[in-house]
Amino acid sequence: MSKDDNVNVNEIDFSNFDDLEEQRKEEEIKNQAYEKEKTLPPDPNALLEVRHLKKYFILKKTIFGKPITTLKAVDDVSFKVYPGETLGIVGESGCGKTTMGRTILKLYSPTSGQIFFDGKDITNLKPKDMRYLRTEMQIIFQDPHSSLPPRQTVGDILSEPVKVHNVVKKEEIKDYVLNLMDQCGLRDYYYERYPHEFSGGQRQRICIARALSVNPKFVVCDEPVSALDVSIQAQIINLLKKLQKERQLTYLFISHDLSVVKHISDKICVMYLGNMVEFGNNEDIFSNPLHPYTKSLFSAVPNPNPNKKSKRIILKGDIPSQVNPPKGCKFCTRCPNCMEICKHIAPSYKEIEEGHIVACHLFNNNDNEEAKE
Amino acid sequence: MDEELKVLEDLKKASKNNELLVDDKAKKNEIEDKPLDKNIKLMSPGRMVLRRFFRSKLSITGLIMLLTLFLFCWFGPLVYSRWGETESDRSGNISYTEYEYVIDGKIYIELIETDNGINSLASPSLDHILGTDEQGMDIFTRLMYGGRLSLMISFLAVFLTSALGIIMGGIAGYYGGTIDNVIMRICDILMCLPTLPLMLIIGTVLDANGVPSSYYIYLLMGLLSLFSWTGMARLVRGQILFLREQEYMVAAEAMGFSTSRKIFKHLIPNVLPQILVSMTLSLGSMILYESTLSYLNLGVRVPYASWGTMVQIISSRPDILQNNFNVWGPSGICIIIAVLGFNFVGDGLRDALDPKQRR
Amino acid sequence: MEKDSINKNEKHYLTGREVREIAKQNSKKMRELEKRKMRKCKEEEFLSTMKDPSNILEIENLHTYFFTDQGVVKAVNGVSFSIPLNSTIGVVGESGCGKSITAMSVMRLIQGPSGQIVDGSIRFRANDFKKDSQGKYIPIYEKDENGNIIKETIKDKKNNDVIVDKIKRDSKGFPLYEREEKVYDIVNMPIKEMYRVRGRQIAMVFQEPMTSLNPVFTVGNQLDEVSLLHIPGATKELAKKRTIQMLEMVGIASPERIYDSFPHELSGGMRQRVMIAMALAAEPRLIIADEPTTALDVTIQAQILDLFNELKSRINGSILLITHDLGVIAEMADYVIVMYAGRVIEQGTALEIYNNPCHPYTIGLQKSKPTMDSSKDDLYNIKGNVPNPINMPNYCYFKERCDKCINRCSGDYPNMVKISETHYVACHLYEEKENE
Repeated sequence: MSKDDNVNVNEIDFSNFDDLEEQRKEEEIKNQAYEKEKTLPPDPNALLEVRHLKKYFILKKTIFGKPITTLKAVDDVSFKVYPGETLGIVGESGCGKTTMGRTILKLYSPTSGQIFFDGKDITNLKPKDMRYLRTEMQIIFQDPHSSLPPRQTVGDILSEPVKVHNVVKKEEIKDYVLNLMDQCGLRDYYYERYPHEFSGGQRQRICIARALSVNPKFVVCDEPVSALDVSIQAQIINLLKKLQKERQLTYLFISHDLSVVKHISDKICVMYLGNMVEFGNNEDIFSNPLHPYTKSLFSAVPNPNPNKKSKRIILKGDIPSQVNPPKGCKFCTRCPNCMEICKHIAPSYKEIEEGHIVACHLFNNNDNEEAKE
Repeated sequence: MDEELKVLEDLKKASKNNELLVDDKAKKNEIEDKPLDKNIKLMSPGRMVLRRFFRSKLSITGLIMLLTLFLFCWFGPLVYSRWGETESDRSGNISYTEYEYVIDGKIYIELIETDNGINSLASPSLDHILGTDEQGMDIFTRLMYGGRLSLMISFLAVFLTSALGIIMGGIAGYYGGTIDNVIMRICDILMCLPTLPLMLIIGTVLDANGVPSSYYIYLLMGLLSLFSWTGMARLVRGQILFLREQEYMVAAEAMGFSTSRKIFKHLIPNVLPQILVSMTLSLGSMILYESTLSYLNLGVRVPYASWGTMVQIISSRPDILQNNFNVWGPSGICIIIAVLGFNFVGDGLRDALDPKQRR
Repeated sequence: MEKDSINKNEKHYLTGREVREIAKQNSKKMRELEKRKMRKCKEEEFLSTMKDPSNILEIENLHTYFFTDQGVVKAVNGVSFSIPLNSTIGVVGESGCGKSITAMSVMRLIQGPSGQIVDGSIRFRANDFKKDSQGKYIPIYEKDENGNIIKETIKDKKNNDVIVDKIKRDSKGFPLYEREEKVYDIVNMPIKEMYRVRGRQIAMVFQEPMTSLNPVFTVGNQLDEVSLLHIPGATKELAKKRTIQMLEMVGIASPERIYDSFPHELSGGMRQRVMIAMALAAEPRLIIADEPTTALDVTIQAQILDLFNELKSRINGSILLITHDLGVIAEMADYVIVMYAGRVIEQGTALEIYNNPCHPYTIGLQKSKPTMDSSKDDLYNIKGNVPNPINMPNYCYFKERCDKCINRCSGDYPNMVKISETHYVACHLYEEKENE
């Protein structure tokens, strides 16, 4: 890299960073910090607080159950979501955004870390106790074709959760469901029909209606529009926004489509290979992206205006495998500003502006003005 | 260039004027009330399945074959009740030969039947539509009674197998982990056992212990079910593993439904079609098993009739195999028809119920 | 309420009699068309002439229908457009608008017997090899200054020296054969004759790089096959040389290593590059790219688009790009065709479509996509859903969703109206001006 010349970190001898002893020490210090943080009370204003969330999948085990290969789907992510807000999570496939959404809902049990919902620690709740919390937090899936049971009518699909959780009296269920269908833009005669008779957009409306049937406060939207056509996408986004206003919902909006995330979110979290690389307010992130990955991600989005053929930062190479991610900063294999230190030490979070967090060595206390351009 | 731009502007103005011409509200209301999707007729899910089933000529053939067989076996005896199942035709003349013995000065005369009057191995005639077997029993009648037994036994066996398979497969698939591992290893072990030799041994044991021979077939088919539920269990387990990953199952989990609700309202109805198909297909093989056991003299025994027993005669009497096709042929054909019929219908059902085939 | 909805349902579903009626009509039509597809005929029958000699593909009034149990789905319903030589045409539209079916019709890959091309013509100007009376290709011989063919000695199978005419070879060592331009009418071609076109003249890049390569053969193996099949005179060594060259061309850094690897060892972006190399291998005149970047991540998509843009200038042919993403179209295409419910509703150059979209659908499509620089207000959206393709009305298909309807919209389907030399739109709003 051309920049290497004026970066003095280059002169440090990095060979000792490969030393296991050193690594272990580092980890210990980190763990101690985590332990301390664990005892801290949750932010009373936040609806959802996630602290150092990790979710590892064990792919291979020895006969004695000792893991050989682990897939670090979510690796140390922390953030807070306040009521009525929308947090957008952006990243490419395999960055762990879907896993994170499901782990927060406890559909997967987290490996470590803490999840606070409404001031309560829900990390270690049993599935039985979790069942009552399900009315508070819901999920909308990406694929509207596989997320609806094929052998139930729309009416059955929507009234089942209402029945199970006793949201309204038995006699009122049908009216309640019809009212809900109306709110979600579904016609009343769809009540008796089967999901396969509908197009993707209508199915996604059914999914939204199902999620809202139990009156949740918090909804994880897992790529709700990426399987839909453009004109339908806009309808669904508007519907989600309308419902948010009407019901004071809080969204965790997961998507790989930057323009959609930009449109709907208040705060944005950019993920790469299980790590959070940048977090901040919508405006901050889009007007002043700091992490090289965020920058290239933004420039990669094709612009529909043929008059403005933008210059792109094109990343070389492919996304590394999650099972065997690169050492140090996980982005170092593709980073245009990669330095020697990146290949050895994983960067820690730095708050650059208020509420704008980035994990990159470029922003280590030494003022690397060049990279901030 | 400028001219072109002007034209464009004019065009845009024109379009704006046009907009004003529209009496918006009335128009829009009309559109709202008459959505396009209401003009379109679709097929109801039930009819779609029927349509796909009856589209294939093979499945229609199979259905006709099976219906004919069932009618023949259950209603046949009511119509054609001239002979009973185990009734020998003794209409022939009884003849004797005299033998004289002189023992201790006394003369003994022994009469030995040379012809017992049984009309055995008769060729097809008005009296016996398909002739008689070596004991003079009417083959046509026995075909009907034998069919009843064969079909009933295979139905029972399939139900037993499926019930076991569904329960074991369901448990393995839903709970996974160690339970899954244990059940699947049991399956592997059971699949290693050679069923037929085992049946032969068990048959000998039963014989030695004096179990009445009319129970044999039920016991053996029951045992067979104990050995052959593995296929069904694997199918159900695979299906449940697949369905568990489907997003609507995750959605059911996220909805906070109880485990029993998830299994009985969401999983089972979605596995049922595959189970139904597999059951239909295994009916054919069960009929074959029944006839094999009867052929080996382990199952239904003469004088009771089953399709397998009726073929059995040829193993000891090669001359019948050569000369009297009417004795063993019809039951063989019935077995073929039944197995083919079940397979055709099973294939048709699979095509009809497979959602991937949906057009 | 209960009764009402059930009554509505009865109307909603087809009765048994209707289903049988539909099936009867369908099977008759399908049998007829299938017979036509399988027939044998002489070459003259499917030769044709181009309307405009600068085009390489002309689609005229193409109708591709699917005869389903629920009725006839008119997936492509009277599509006409043409592709000039050395240009990139983008077809844009939502799912079910018939854009992929149009491409499949060009390749004659429509799944029979339910899917059939019913009407229309697809004229393709092929650069085919000339054949002599025995059906063999005619080689080009190397000549000296006097016009005499140069002789060379080679060894035959029995290792004897034989003197033969020297065949001209290109820079890669492939023998050259005489070529001629022929115009095929693809719709009239029996399916057996399609080998002349598929792969050799028109190649296709599919959406799913994960499933479009055969997992049991190495990448090199599959690429060699294309060269061996479509380039006359290719030997194994030549094919390998060419494959490696192709892999280099699509930006693969270590082609020798990729040559020996299996598809599952490659990432999605790499596989798509291999697919592009495969499409380029036979030097086709037309490359159909059916949503080539939809299954890829944004950063990989940027790489592939970059590659396409670079290739555009290096290959001697046209690209037909099919996508639902207006952004991709803007990056790539010179000329844009907007499709809706099986019909072309607007066509023009990329700039015209972007700067001056005329059809309400195009306008809506453009407005409803949130962009990186759009505001955070409510998005404009087109109301309603894409209409069910069975039993289409005879008025404008977009009428139900359009917010600019005029009285005339209830009438016939609008004709194409000329806005400029290259810009056409099918909408009643612009018809009046033309008539004046």
